[in-house]
Order: sequence, then structure tokens, then C-alpha cells
Amino acid sequence: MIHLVNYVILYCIAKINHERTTASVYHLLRGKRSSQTIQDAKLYELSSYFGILKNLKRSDFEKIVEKLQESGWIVSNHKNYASLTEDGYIYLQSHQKTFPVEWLNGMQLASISELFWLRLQLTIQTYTNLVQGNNNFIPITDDHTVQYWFKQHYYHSRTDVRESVDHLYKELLTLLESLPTDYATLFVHRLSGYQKIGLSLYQLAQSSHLSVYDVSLLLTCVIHRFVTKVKVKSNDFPYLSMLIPPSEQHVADVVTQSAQKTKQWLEKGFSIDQIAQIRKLKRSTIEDHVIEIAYIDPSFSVESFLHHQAYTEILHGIKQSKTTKLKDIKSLLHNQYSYFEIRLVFASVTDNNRSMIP
Amino acid sequence: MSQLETILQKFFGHTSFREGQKEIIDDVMIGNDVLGVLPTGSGKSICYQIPAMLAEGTVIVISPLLSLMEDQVKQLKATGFKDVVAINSFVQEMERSQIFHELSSYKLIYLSPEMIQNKRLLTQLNHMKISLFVIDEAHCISQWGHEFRPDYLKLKEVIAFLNAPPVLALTATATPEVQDDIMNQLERMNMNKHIYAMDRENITFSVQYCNNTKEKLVFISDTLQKFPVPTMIYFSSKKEAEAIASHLHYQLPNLRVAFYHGGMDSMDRVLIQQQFMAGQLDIVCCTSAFGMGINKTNVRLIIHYHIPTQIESFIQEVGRAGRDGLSSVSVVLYAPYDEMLPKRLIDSELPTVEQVKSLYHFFDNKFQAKQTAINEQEIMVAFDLNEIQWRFIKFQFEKYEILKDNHIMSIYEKKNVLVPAIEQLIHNRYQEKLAKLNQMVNWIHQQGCRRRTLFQPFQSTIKEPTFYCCDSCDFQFEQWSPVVDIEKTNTEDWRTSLAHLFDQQIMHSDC
Repeated sequence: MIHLVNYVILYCIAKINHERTTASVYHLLRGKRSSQTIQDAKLYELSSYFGILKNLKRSDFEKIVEKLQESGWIVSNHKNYASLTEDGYIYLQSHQKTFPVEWLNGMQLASISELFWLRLQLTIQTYTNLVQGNNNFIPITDDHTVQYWFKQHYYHSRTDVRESVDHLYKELLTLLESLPTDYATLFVHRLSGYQKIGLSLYQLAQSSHLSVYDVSLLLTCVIHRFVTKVKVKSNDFPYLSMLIPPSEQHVADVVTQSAQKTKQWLEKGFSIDQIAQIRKLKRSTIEDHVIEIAYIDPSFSVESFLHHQAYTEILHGIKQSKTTKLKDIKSLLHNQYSYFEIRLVFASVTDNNRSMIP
Repeated sequence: MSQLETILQKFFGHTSFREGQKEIIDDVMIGNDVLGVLPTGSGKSICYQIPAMLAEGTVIVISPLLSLMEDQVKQLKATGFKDVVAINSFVQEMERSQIFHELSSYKLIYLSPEMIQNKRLLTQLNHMKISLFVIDEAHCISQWGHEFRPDYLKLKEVIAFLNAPPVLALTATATPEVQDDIMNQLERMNMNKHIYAMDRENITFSVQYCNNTKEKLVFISDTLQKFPVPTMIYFSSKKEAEAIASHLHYQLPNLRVAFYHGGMDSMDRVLIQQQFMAGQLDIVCCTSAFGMGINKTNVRLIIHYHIPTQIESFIQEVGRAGRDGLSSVSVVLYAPYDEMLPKRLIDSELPTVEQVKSLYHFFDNKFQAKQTAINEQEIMVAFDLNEIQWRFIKFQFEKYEILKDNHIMSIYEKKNVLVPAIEQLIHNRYQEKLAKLNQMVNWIHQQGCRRRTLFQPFQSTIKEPTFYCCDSCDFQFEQWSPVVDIEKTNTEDWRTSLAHLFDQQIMHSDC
């Protein structure tokens, strides 16, 4: 039996390949809100893995890494820098298609889809109870913001309960039918509603003979897939579209609070130095914020920080260099450009473009 | 129907009050101070929930059980009583200030004993009309009680500050000494006592001797095979609760088994609890974290895989069985050396003298360096103290005025008084706890009627059992014939399951 989580961790270690400690993989999967983690995700083409296992415990992560080592798939030095062995690469290769990693889109969807999923579960629970005339149930989530959202949604939607239930059912059925049976089963078993309390992660794991983390990983895959589909074809999913939070919310959820403040100053037209002065912070800190925003915010433009010519020269340099190490790129470009400028270009290039970089 | 009965029916779905409820509500509503001792499962909370709905002003409830508060708030909201809130450490800063803002709009406010020390909250409550001040789990105020909480001793001052509203002290387990102590500590010697017998007629008591854990397992699976009834199995360790649950899952494929403990994430906890209530689960392997808010009426069997540290908590846990009045059984499993685990638990409830000493030196140095503010979390980590241990030390340090409002005060020369005093206290408390454990262990080993000996410290008579009394008097498992009302849920494919959930006709594809 393959453990999907092991595969994911192995894949991440392969990408990072000795340049960061294994702990950085842990932070990545948990979706840690720090400039370093967000940058690493982009730098090593691991954006889609960002925040896909928010419930991962440190001790469990370390156990898995140990196991990978015992299996002879990775080797690591005493400072926890690891890389794959030949067996490790063979294992990765041979298990490539075992689960749909291509559905994942962590950096863009991790926080949105988590919220969407909570909202969806509460919506289903409430409507399926109301349609049976039962007002007497305990909400599936303790999250007060989600409960508040639902009240607003319910108050404004004004559609008949029966109608809502039917729409929701149809849209969900369409989405579920595009999934393999195992995945659809996991998803439906997790749902709670009238006279049906959903299974816990542990119970799902037991019934599907997977580990708890594998189950949450598969559910994440499914939710990301759903959110992507609903966003792309919102006309086909009018009901579910209402459950997806706006993308400004996404930026606010992922970017650190301090970077969020920097963003507000930038929008008012202040320069990096001015902001550093106003906020009594180092210039380098503000630069970190800018990089962070550049990674997360799709509407961010590098042009206010970098001339076009500089941009193309750096991009060329990045493509020429065989490494992701900033220091090497900097010297390749004859130290003409600052680290900040190089990082900015890195941040602005999408993952797909990056893949062309050797 | 009177107004009280109408409300009872409307919000709680009962047609009549249970023993004690109406008497206490009536007494409270005319403004008397009341001490109520009602057995677990008798619906203590209705005694203040109904006054909260009726009385002008706000009812405050102090409860140390955070999950219980949360459950009660959810249940009340589900029934349609919305002006209710719980404020405790679970509530985020931002939400808390929102709640503070509209405090006077609530009819019922649940507070943790720590939270009511909050100055801002107190000031605001001081300006409100408090119709009743409720102390739930009131035995926590007594040093003789099994769950003494130093914070409870401050309640007397809080009540005075809130313009001395009427007080309702409630508990499920209090010996006559503890009852006196509660009134003493609150300085309300004229409370009207409403004491009700704690033993329930429909519960049968038994002990099963095993030679080792393997035999315990065999006993459990044999028993459950024979009596597939809704069951709670209590453990002192999370790990073992998980391990046995998984073992039973494979041993008893026709029963639905799960585990529950405080280490699970909150959604999974809600799910397991609700599955059990909805009859989707038959057996829950749990720690004492489970069951506080459980309102399931047909739990037939309570198994103690590990022995509890005192009879008071044992009685509370057993009290979750048979709330519908039908025949239910309690079994305590005992193997040689089983006392060791509760002994370790007792150890973990008290700090060591060394910890107290080094903390004292730490504070002394800090004070001399003029760094008087303390960070509780850091201290707990640095001195390897759990929350119960830290609470104990903190209270003592506050008592000796070494700490005040989380600041270190002058320590100079207090050491010679303080350290021996605390050392003595730790010693005494340890002996008390050990005595409690011995009481539990003795109960297991004694030959007399289990029902009589169990309730002897609390009441002079016991009720006539409806079914069997205990394994000393008349009970053998072979004779038991419980009502078995377990429904089997069929495992459906996802399409059928989804269609059922959404109340849809199942479409048969005609392609």
C-alpha cells in the first residue's frame, strides 16, 4: 500500500534537493504564513503543495521522514538537509499517477478552499435539516465566522429551501460524477446532514484502508478540484459559486499581517524607503513584504519596482543559470542587480514558466 | 399547564420536571440562595436555564468545564433560546470584545472561573442587573472536594462586587462536609438546601477481576458480542483508548466502534459525539473528556477499563448510563497493579517541592532584575509544569503575595515561611488524593453490597433497585437482558447516500 503523504513529502524533498532543511517541507505543507515559506514554494516549484496538509503534526512529519530514510529513499546529513537516492527517484517515478496531484493548487486555493469546504458542509447540514422540518441540530463547525456567513447567506438568498436543496444536489452530483468512485465515496461519507452525521477522518481512514493524512490529502485534492471547476464555470454552478469567498480574502488570509500593512502603504503610493521609515522597520523587512505580496497577489505588478530592461536581463540570467541559488545568479549577472530585484523577478514568474528553466 | 411547564415543553421537549428541578427553580425565582445537590443526569442545568429565560436581567453561570459550556450554548441555541453566550479561553480576542460590547443583551452568560477575574468584564457586569449567580460544579470550591479549584475561592468577592445577587450553587457529588464547606466558603450559611439521593435505581454495579490486560480485552469483546448495546468504555490514557478501539473494531465487525479524547481536532470531536447521540455509533472508547454534554438516554453499559482516581468521578461517569430508566450496568475491570496508573495521575496533579523552590528563585532573581511581568505559558514550559500544577503554585504565590495580577511582588525573606508551608500543603493534598484513591480501590475489593458502600459517604439510605442491585447481591451477567435497540445502518454507495441526504429520488440511469 502506498502512502500518499510519503509520496508528497518525497516529491518535495526531491525538488528542494539539499538546499533547505526538511523542516521547510513541513512548513510548506502546513501553509506557514512566512515570507520564507512562501518564497520557497515558488522557488522550488512547489506552490501547489502549499498548505495542503494543515493538520500535519510535527512529530508525525518527522516519523515519516525517518521512514523514508529507513526505506533508503532519502539520505540526509546531521543538519537535516536531505536529498533523494536513486531508489527514491525510482519510487517517485513509478508512483507518479497514483493520485491526482495536478488537481492541487495550494498557493492560490488553500485558504479559499478550506473556507469553501466549511461553508459547504454547514450549508448542506442546515438545508437538509430544514427541508425535513428539523430546526433542532448542532452545527457541524464551531467556526463562528462560518456560522455568521451562513446566516447572512440564508437571509439574503431568499430562495425556497426545497429549491436550494435541489440545486445544491444537482451541482454536487455533477461534480462528484467526474470523480473516481473512491474519491466520491470519501467526500459523501464526510458530509453531515439530516439523520446523517459524517465520518471522522479516522473513520474514513479505517473504511478506506488509508492513513488519516492520506484521507485528508485526498479530500483536499477533491475540494481544490471542485473549487477550480466552480470558479471556471460559475454559470454551471450558480449555487456553489456563492460559497466561494472572494479572492481579496485569499490574499488577506495568506499574506502575513505585517505584509498586509505594507501593501496598504504601497497602494497609497509610498516608496519602500518611506514605508520603512514610517513603520520604523528595516528596508529589508519591507522588501520581504513586497516579495511576499508579489508571490500571492495575482494583481501585483513588478513594474513599479523594476524597469523592463532590468526585468528581461534578470529573467535571462535566471534561465541561463542551472541553479535556483540567488547568490550564483547574482554573480552570473556581474552583481549588477540586488538580491531584492532578482527575487522580484522570481516571484513574478509563474510556475509554468519556471518549469522551462532547467 | 403552568408557565414553567410550558417553557419546559417548548424548549426542552419534556412534559414534566424531574425530581428536584421544579423545587429549585421555584426557590430561586423568589430570590433565595440555594444549594442543590442533584445526581448526574438529572438535568441540573435546567435549574438555571429556565430562570434565565423568565427573570428580568442576566443569569451568570460559572463552570470549569469548557466543553460542557460550549455544548450547552449550542444546545440552547438549537432549541431557539439565542440570548446565550459562553466566554472562555476558546473565544478569540476579537470575538470577545464584540461579545463584551453587547454583554447586556444576553440573558444567560457562561463564564470560566478564570474569565470572571477579567477586570473589564467585571466592571461591565457590575452595571448590569444580575438576577442570579450560578456556581456549577460547586464542590470545586471546597478543599475537601475531589476537584478543588483555587479560583473558586475568589467567587465570594466577585459576588459581592456584583451587588450580591442571589446565589445558586449546584453539584452532583457532595458529601455533607463538602456541602457545609461550600456554604462556608461563600459565607452564605442560610442557603436553602435541596439534596437529592445520588443513586439511580436502574443502574447495576459490578467488578470484573482480570489477570492482565489481555483478559480485559477478552471480557469486553465477549460481553459486547453477547450484549450489543450502546456502551461507553472509560480509559485514563488517550493512547489506550485508541488502541482498544481499533482492536474492537476488528474483533466486533458487526458493531460500530470509535474513540474520543481531548487530543482530537474539534470537528472530529463534534462528529463522534453526534454520531453516538444519533445512534450511528455503538461503542465509544473515551477519556473523561467525553460525556459531559452527552444527552444520550439509552447508554446501557459503562465499562471502566482503568479505575478512576476517586469515587466521585466514578459516580459521575456511571451516571451517564440509563437516563431513560431502563436496565443498565456498570463494570469496573480490575487487574493486579491497576492502582499504579491512577497514582501516576495523582502525581501529575501536584507540583514537586523542587519545582516550587526553583520557581521561587527564578521569581526572586526576576524581581531583583526589575522584570516583574510574568508569562504563564513560558513558565509552564520552562519549569515543566502542566496547567493543574501551575494553577496550584500560582494560587499559593498569590496567597503569599509573591504574585499579583501576573506581576512579581517583593519576595524578600518570604522563603522561610513560604517553601515549608507549600511543601506541607503538597504533602497533605497528596495524602488526601491517595485516600480518595484508596476509597475507590477498597470499594473494588470489598465484599459487601456495592450500591450501599458506594453511596454511603453521601447519603444514609439507598433506593430499592428496579432491576439488579450489584454483583455482591444478585447480579450475574448471564442473567442480564437489556433492551437492545441498536439499529443497523446499511452501507450505501455514494449516489444512494447523497440522494437520501438531499431527499431526492434515486435516478436509475437509463443509458
